[in-house]
Amino acid sequence: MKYRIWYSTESFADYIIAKTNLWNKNVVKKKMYESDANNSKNFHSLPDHIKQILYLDAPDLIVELDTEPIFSIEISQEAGTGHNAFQRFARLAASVENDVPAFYIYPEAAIITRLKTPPKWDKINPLVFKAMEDVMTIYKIPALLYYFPSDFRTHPNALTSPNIRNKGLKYDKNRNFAGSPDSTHSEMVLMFEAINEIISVVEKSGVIEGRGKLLGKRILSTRKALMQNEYVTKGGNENMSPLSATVKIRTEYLLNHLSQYENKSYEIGELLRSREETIIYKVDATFRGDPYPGALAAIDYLRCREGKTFEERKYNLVMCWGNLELDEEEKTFTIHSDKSTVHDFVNAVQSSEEKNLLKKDYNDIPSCEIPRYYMQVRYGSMFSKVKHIRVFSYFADAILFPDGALWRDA
Amino acid sequence: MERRITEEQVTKAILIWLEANDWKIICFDFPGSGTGVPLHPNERLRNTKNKGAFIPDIVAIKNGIVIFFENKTRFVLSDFIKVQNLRNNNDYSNSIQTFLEEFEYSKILYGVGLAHSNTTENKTNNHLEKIGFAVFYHNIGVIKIHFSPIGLFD
Repeated sequence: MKYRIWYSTESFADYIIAKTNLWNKNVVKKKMYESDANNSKNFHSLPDHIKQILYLDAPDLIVELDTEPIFSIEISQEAGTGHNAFQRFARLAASVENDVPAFYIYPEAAIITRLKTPPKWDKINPLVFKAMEDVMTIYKIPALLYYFPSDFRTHPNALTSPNIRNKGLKYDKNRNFAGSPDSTHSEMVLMFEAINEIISVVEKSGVIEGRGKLLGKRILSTRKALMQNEYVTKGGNENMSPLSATVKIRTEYLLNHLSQYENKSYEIGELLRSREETIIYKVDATFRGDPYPGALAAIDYLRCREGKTFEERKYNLVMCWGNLELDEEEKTFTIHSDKSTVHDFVNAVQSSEEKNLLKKDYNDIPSCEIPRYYMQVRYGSMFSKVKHIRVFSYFADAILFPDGALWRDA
Repeated sequence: MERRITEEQVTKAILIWLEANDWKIICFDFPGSGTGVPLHPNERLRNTKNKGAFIPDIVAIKNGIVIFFENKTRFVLSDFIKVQNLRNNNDYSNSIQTFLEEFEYSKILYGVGLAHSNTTENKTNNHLEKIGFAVFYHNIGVIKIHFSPIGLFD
């Protein structure tokens, strides 16, 4: 049995290998490249099954057994208030949507120092537990959160935290694992046990059959239950960010709004019409990426999804860049914003497209670029657009701007 | 094909070497580590929130001397100019002072940590006036002092 560890940070790969049962396996480490957009030189050389996991966004680590991914890990040191806890959510979704169990290491709280106020703990938004639960419910694949070790529980007063310089987070003392969480902390010990359980199951039952058994394993189901409990005890509710930025409307309003794009020869297609109601995620900000792609993915699972694909939604999921003003009389709405325009979206797409090879003549393509050219022939610009464009266009049934819109017909 | 040295490997080897020589690590950063501490320019120089912030690759202290490292896998002139600006200007003095407020120190030195090659060594020698010190990462994590005019690492 041959394991491959795909990593973005080698320290963290070494850490996971050393601290789990991977240490005595036949293991090869390989550098992972996030996307064709940010690493055009190397991305095309990744195996296809790894590319599929990276399609939405890249986790920090993917472990595969005999070319089948068996789990991924995403790690964050950020304070998880508001939208921030969801910043990496699209990475988890990408993993689980490919039937690959996902681990999320995230601080329960991190110390934030702001001008003119004393340092304080910024706590995780508990809604992330609900979003992960909903992903697990749909895919029957583990998506488990473990806290990045911190002084939060032992030093509630941030000023007394011995690790205040590191936002109160506790790192492993071994410099070969620099930047990795303290491996002696109970949260990490529990995560190592869960990883070992996955290794044991897939070695015994095979990767494909083993995946279906994982949530029944006591170590993993106990964690799932703990996450449900954390959601409740931390006061989680569905009025929290990013759900607080959503509104549910009759789809009729959306269709009336989009009717401005219809004419004699074109009518909005059946997908949007097939759902009676629509969830609109309102973002009154300059058009950009983080934290919005992850938040959009989370809203899908928290509010819309009923099945494994975007076609299986109870409600349309629409992203609106601006303030939405409902017109009850005309059953439509208008959008106002001086921060974003549809051209921001289109310019980002064009900018990615300029780096692509498909318009080149054969004689203008150097040998080393031919595999990338051939990848783009097969997949078009699927991996070549910037992350937020990929994620928005994957999850949103429509994206609305004050001066334009994009939507799916089917 | 021989595997290329990464900035992560350079930084980790220097961390281990510094600690073996009794330096206390104050902070470090390498691509993907998430551990970096951004230092912001003084208020009068700020145009936007993060404009001009820099993240030192290593900050360490020993005997009242603080050292800031800029690490790379090869010679990069812009990094040497960055180090030169840090040495000659006080653009980040407020942020650095706050960052180091719990430490007693009399001197701050700015230098580089680079993966060694003959090209890097030659180019470094042509720009020594810009930096306070230089150490090189040789094969399998061995760190050698290349330039240390005040016997910093003796």
